Amino acid sequence: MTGLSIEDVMQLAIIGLAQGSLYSLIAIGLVLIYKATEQINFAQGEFMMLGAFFGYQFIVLSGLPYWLGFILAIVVLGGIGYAYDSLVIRRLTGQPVFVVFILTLATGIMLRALAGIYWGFDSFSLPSMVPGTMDLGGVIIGWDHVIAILAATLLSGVLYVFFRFTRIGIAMQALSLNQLGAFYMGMPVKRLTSSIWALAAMFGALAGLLLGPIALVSTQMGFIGFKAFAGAIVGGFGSIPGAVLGCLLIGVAEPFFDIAFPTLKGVGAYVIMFTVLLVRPQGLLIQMYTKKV
Amino acid sequence: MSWLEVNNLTLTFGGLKAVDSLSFSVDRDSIFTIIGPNGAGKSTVFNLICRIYNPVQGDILLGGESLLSDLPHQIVKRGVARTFQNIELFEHATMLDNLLIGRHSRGRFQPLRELFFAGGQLEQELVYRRKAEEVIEFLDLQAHRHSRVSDLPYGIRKKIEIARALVAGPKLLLLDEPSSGLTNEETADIAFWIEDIKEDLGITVVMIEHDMKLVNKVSDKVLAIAEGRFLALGTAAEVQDNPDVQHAYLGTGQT
Amino acid sequence: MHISFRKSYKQDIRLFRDGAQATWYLSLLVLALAMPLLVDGYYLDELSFVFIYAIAGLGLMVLTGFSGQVSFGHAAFVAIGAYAHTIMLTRYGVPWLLSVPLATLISGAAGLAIGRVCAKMHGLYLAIATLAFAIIVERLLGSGGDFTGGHGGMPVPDISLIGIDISESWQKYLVNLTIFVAVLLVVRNLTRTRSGRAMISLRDSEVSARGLGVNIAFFRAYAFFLSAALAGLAGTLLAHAFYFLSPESFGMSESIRLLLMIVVGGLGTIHGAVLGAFFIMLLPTALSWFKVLLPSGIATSGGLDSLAFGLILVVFMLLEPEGLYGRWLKIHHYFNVFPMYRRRSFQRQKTFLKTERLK
Repeated sequence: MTGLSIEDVMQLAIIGLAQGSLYSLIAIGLVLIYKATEQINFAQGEFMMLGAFFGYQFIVLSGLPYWLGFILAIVVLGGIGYAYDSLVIRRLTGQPVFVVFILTLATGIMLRALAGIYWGFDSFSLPSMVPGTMDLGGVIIGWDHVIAILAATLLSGVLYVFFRFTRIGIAMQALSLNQLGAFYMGMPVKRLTSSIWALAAMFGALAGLLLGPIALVSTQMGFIGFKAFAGAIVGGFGSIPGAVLGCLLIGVAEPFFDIAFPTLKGVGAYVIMFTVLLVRPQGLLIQMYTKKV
Repeated sequence: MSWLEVNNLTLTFGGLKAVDSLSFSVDRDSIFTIIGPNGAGKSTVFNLICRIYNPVQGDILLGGESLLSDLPHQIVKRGVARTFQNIELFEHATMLDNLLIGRHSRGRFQPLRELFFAGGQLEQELVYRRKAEEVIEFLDLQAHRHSRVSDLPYGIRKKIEIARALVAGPKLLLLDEPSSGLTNEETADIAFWIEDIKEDLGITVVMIEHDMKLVNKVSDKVLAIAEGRFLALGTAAEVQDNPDVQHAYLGTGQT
Repeated sequence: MHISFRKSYKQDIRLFRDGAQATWYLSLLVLALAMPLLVDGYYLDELSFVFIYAIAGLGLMVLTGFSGQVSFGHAAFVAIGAYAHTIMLTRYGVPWLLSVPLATLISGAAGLAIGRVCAKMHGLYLAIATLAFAIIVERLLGSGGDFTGGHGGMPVPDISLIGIDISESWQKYLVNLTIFVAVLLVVRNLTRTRSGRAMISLRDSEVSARGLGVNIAFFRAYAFFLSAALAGLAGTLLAHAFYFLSPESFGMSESIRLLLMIVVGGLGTIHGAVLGAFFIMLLPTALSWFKVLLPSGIATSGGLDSLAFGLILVVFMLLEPEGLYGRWLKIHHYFNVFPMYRRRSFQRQKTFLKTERLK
């Protein structure tokens, strides 16, 4: 890695951190759904993509003011998430795991196709929340990146407090530990579950709206979702701090990995995941246990 | 003579002692029942014997040899088979396939012969099948051979759990709450079968049970444990009259 | 009503339960062999693809359907087989009859290596790990420079069997058919022997499988080996069907398509893999008829195939998770017990989530 100045390293690290923050926003959605329902949402990347596309629709095509379009896109995705759970996922409660695996995978494919049919298969640009760059001690960073980092940090903290200390948060965790029991205790299981899906979709939308300005909006965007999976696994799937940690790690490591191993450009996230799993098969922070008999 | 020996067995989960310096021994060709209130650690003892957990202290001896050096999938070769409290059958397979898997430990890995079904595979399959049929005959499960296990009623599934363990040809059978979820008639049937397992098949049975009628009917010896600790050992009547046992189940009755 | 009487144990162990079943499948075989006389080259090529995908699908079926290890990266093993075979043919002049089994073994070895690493992984981790493997392999093949032809790709010569060039459609069709039938037999043999049953036990209850003496890690790795070998075999045939190899044909999308293919067909069954392969090949043709009905703007859009594919899968998961073969069995059952079919025969029970985690 010759020829890299300290400023270059800092710049790459911060861009990596921003990228990792966006992965973690997606991953948070994944873990939310998993913690509440033990289901895996393979369409999470496509939720992100849709969030970006709706942002494009409202802000660019329909010409709404940025903040209005931004919030509208997030709300729309929340609605989509809620509807998806109540109309589709709910019918499959208690079915074997692979059914929802496949269902969400297929949904992702459908969403990608629908987006392409409606908006087209090109790449589109989305305006930034705060345009321009800032100067951090000699390193030039786009505001997009800074906001991504701030958003992820802030929201992780809020969620941590929410799940640890509020009644609804604790209730949501109870949902998956004993769903039948939750019903008996009078918890509005269906509403809570759909709300979680809505929340996860909104997190994805946020990630999409923040990523769009950086990486362009396209139907291929959703594949970043799998990197979020890799990050969440590195940290230990099942805990939000773990998912965030893993995603940040991968985000920061990626640019340096690409420089060090040019033949493996772009797949650093996955190589890192493999390496971590070799040493610690449960991820860095253990969250999964074996079935008790 | 004492055949299965548990000496000073201790297992902790974090700060909790699931099993606490437990010692008991089981005679060959007897039916030994473990009773205790919920959470007493009874299934944990089974899990320890089957090597799913590692004790922090103590030893488990079968016929004088320690089991602690075995891995979970090696225990069946020692002649130990078990059933599970919540049925752990292979849901997608037929009953017959479930039983045939029970015979797995008696076979050898012969990949080429298997894939090309050559060199005696047919004979090998027939051998497995005959053993499975013996158990089917013994437990009266003929009607369900080719039914998918997930389609069968609960009482039958419980029997298939036991059948599958028997196909493995064990010398020691661990039954985890064999009568839970069964009707009175089914429980009475199970009692007969457990006795037959001891007498006709010559298998030593260690059983976890809550149904005291069943316990009284079949047990040669009863062990009561609570909170992972030894409470009482003796015949069914002796243990039930023991005040410590009554206290563990019912409380002292004092406010 | 058809009642099949069981008169001996051998009936259950043998390939076909009775004369009726044997006749049915042998007639299909005869029909398949007669195809070159009935249809022309284009359709024979299509059928060849079906057979090749079915072989890859059977490989994935052994892994995911039998031993329950969901793999999102199976196309990588197909790629390894295809590339290994082509490189041996073109660079090292290995005869075809030797190159195919070698490539199969190389693929199998890769599967074994991955299997050993992933043997202890929980379901989701395994899925993503296999996905990661596929992505990494695709990248490596692209960066392989001259050795793998890099992103530009690599041309594939014709099959040459003992000096005879196999270049006509019908000749390739027969080669593919033969290998397909052989693979069917091998996988069927797996299901009726000890190792196959051991794999099935892994899928449903690891803890009781252990209690019965099944070495979980060993059989998971073995399942990986077999499934990767079969995928590699499919890869060698695919190379000749494509005439040209490029890394993009074996990426994540292909892997996911394979997985969805066997799910549509019917997870856990041999018929499922074959039906799924037919489905995948017929889908574009069926869609092109359907497109005529749609407004031209939508019909010509590139996303329609994917949309249809995704939609069909969603519908299947909601209504018929057992796939095409599952539905076929139910229809078969209906006619078997006609007129005494009960509509509640296959009703799904209302279920609740039972957690697999221990707090």
